[in-house]
Amino acid sequence: MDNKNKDMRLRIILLIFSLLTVLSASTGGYLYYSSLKTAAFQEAERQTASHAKMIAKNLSFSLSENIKSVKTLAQMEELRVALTQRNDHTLARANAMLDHFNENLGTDVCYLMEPEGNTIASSNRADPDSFVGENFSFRPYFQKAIQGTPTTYLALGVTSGKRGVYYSHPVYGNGQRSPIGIVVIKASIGLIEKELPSFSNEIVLLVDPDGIIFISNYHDWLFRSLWKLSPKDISRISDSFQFGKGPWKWTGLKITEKEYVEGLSGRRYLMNRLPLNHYPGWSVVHLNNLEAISKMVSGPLIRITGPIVLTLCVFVGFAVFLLYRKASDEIVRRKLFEKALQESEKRYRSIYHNTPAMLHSVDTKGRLVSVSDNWLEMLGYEREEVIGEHLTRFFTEESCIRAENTIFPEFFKTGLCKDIPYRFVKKNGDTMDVMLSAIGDRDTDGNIARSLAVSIDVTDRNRAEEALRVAKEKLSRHSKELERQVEQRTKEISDILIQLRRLSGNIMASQEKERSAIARELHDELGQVLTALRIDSVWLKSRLKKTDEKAAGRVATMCDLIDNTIEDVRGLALRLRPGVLDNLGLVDALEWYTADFERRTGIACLFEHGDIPQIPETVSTAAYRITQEALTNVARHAVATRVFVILRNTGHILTLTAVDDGCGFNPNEVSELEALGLVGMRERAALVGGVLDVQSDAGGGTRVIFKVPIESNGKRAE
Amino acid sequence: MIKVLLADDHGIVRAGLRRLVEESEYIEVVAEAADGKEAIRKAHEIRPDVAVVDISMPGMDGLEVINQLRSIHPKLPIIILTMYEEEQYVVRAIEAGAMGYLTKRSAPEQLVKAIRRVYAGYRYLTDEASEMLALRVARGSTGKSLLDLLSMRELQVLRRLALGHTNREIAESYHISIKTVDTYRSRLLKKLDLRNNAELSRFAIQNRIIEA
Repeated sequence: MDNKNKDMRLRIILLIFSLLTVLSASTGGYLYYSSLKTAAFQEAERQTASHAKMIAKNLSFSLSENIKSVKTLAQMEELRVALTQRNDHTLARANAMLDHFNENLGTDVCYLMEPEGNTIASSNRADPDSFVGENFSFRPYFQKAIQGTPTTYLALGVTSGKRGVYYSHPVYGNGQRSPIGIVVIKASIGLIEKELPSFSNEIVLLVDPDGIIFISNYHDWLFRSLWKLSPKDISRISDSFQFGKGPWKWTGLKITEKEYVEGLSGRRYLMNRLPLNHYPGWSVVHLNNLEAISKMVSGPLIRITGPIVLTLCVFVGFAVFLLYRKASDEIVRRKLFEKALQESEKRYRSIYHNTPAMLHSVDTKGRLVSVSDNWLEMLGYEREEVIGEHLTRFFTEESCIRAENTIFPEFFKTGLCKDIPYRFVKKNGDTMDVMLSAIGDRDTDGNIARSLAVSIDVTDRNRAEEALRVAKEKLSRHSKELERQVEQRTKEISDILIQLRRLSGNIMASQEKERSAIARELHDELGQVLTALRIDSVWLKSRLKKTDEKAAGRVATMCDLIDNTIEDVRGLALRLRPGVLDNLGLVDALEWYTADFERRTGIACLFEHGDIPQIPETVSTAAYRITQEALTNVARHAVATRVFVILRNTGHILTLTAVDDGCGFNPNEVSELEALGLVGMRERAALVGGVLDVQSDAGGGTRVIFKVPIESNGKRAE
Repeated sequence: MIKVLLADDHGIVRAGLRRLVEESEYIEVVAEAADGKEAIRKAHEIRPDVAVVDISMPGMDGLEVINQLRSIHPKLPIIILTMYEEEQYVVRAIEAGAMGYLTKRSAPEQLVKAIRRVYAGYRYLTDEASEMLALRVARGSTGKSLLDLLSMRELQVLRRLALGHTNREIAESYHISIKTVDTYRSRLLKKLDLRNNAELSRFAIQNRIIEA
């Protein structure tokens, strides 16, 4: 609701602002227009004034046209003669002169008056309204001229009833100082009046000192007065006969301002009043219709400024409209946003309260501001019981102390804490272990205003952990005991093994010894006896050859038999233990054995050896027997074409390698007997402190490597 | 008469040998010994022309006997007579200074011949033994060389190939297969970085394995 009001207010403000903008634009336009108009008006006034001035000048010029002519006429001899010697002849000549002037000047009439004021000669003497004989002595032009002053005068003709301009000039006689008469030229006003601007919006008035309008392009106003005349003035004017008999009504014009007059019709005019030369007191009044001026001025102005102002207004209006639209959109957007925000807040609240997690917020004093439903549920409280309470009230004493001394100050400094172990006390008195993590909610100044905290119930976990720890301890005790027992058993077994190995070693050693003894016995004892037997047999054979061939043949057979037996004994002995090994050492033994192997099997057997020092008999025996076993395996199974036996002494290690190019074998698939062979090799290697490695790939040959540490002085390294 | 010392621990063998030797008119057994020490002593006392010594006698090793006899009588030709037929013994014996080598098996046929030859100042060896000896000497004399890379068997095969023996001949003489001989040959070529038998021959000559 509040939002709606606010929204409305914003809209109104925007509207007012737009209106003001339009208004100010319009005002600006208007001011511009009026200032232009004023300027135009002033220009018009100025033009009007100069126009009036020109008219006045023209009028003045027109009304002074005959001043020089009358002067010339006055000096004419004929007129003077007619005045001085009046007779028909002189008058005729004067009349002729007057006619001549009247004709040439195009005036109304030229006439001559004697000093009494009677007209004695005139150009209109033949007309019905002839001036001859008439007396015009009442006319001011006469009165002034007879006194010597040439005069111009405007009046309505007494005789003719026509308006005219009178130019009078005194006529002097020869040598006489005072005039002997006057001559007058009367010109028509009609032509002058015609030259005035045609009456439409401007009215030109020629006004006498009393305000009587004598000449005008507005004929209705002729012989009216500009202002109201007093009766005294009227009688004076009437007496002068200057403008007929009157009644010289008021035109109705009222001068409202200095230059503006208003007619009866309500029309307003701009007035210019200028004096008329040669006619003292007379003035030319120029009236210009204000409406016409206005029309004339504002027409083009509106044509020029109108579109500009209109465009400006439209543009401004459009801009305002756009801005208004934009602002409206913004308002709508904001409203949507606000609504979304509200919804999100609502949702957040809902989430906050309904999340199945213990959430709470505290203010800077540590008092609870809000808690989630789950929080209440877990601790067994009602919302009213906890809001506003200090959080630590729900802690155990130990947690409370820790929170107030360490955690709170740190939190309000950093705005963050993570996995703080606390212990809550439930309403029913039970305790609950939690891990509390919180972040600070900062206000606009960046200070922490409140916390958002989540607590995870780790009571079960802690219990489980504790149980696990206990179980682990127990297990570790058990396993230690077990380990001890295993160790003991292992020791017992290894003792037995050691004994067994010792036994096995002894067995092997004694076996070797025995073999050696038997071999020697066979070879040396039996062999020697057989040899001796053979020597004798051969001797016997050679003896009998000459005497008893049959016996010799028998002896030869015996010799062969003895030979075979020797061979058998030798082979037997060699197989048991080759004498070379004992007599000449390992290198010679292997050299012999490999050559013998080659001979027996047809498999190329290449023996290579480096510089081999004196080595203990046990090691030699082991190396020899391992070679024997390895090569026997090669001959039996490997389907090899060649085999290398390499004996090397690398530092303090004696390395024996037997490699064949046979089919190899899978160590997991060897028969028991062969496995025993391998085990036997290993056993021999181990007995002398060495190691045996058998590498074999199916199809990739077999490599038997025996390594044993030896000392350079030949003693076995122990 | 060639005076001979017979040293053998077996009486019957000594008796047999005496009979064998005495068949010859030029040879006389002047002394007999049953062990190494006795042999040395008798040789010192009696000064035989030739000593026939069993290589394996109790008390003193046959080779040691040779050494000692040589040190006392550097010019006394010694023939080793033994039950052992392995070439290794031959080489050792010759290295120790023996002039001849006989297996007891071949004694009836060869002993007299052997005694006469060594008395005349020649060596008396089987072909195979003399070959091995030659090869060992060749290897030993050249010091560190390519020959050190070769095993004894390879040296043997090298020598035979250099002499122009065919693979078959070599196989037969060493009681091995032709294939094995070929294996040795290819290994020789590889080890010595040679290409053919001609190069092998040149190499053998350069290294005094065979005479040019």
